[in-house]
Amino acid sequence: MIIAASMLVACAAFAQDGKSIYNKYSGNNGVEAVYISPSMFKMIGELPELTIDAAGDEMDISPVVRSLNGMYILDSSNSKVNESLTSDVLKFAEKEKFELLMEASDEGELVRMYTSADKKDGDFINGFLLLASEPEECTFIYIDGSMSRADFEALMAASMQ
Amino acid sequence: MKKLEDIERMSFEELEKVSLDGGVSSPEGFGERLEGAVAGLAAAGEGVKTKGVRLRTAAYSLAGAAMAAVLMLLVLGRPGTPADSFDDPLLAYAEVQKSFSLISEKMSKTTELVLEASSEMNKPKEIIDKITK
Repeated sequence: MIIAASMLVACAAFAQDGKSIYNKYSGNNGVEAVYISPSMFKMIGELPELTIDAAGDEMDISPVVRSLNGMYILDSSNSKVNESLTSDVLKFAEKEKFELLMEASDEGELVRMYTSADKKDGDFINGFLLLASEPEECTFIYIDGSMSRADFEALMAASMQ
Repeated sequence: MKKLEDIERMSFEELEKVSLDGGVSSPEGFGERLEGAVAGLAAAGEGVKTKGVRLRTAAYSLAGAAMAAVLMLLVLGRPGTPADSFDDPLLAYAEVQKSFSLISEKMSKTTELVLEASSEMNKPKEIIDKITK
């Protein structure tokens, strides 16, 4: 029983998460990796005039940016890595019970976006995950941190302009 | 000589009386056989006990080794925190904006697909409307 418990602990320790996926694939040939730490987000949050145009209104995004715990970006053009990366990201989303925000599959490209709902407050999300996968290129973006859904949607809307 | 069934039916007082009766003698060599049997049982019990202790020790050793292996894996195999890709917050912010733009681009593409699909879905309705007019 002790051995079984030990094995379970070991399995849990090696389960996939955003950081371990990043660590696993960054440094591989043809993989561009970007990590932004919580400290850096705090420094970004201190930048002057950190505002975006949200439907005609100036929106101060510094509180949102300061609350982020990290951003992990992987962009792979290594076809050997792409399949494995896609599989790991899908497992991660399933394990962490991410909510599928939207999915599109078009001409061999699969795009999935997920959010991690805050269990205590439905108006907040604890993370955002994007997977854009095609045989030649695979992009993984994971934003870790608590932010209001409204702020996140405003950020996305502003970026679409 | 009494049979076993007779002895079993005897009361405690009767048994005590028989044991105190000096006229009743035990069979020849019974004492030695009894001592031998008791010694044999004791030796067998000791063997079982030793085997049990050995098994328990082996199980504890195995569990200890497994725990040590798990701790080593946790300490050595745990992914470390990656290094920041930027030293300058402005460059980091530019990368954040780039990522948001990519997310938005993918969102827009998905929305376009939805709009395309909905226009296709409207076609049968349009045909039906034309026929019924």
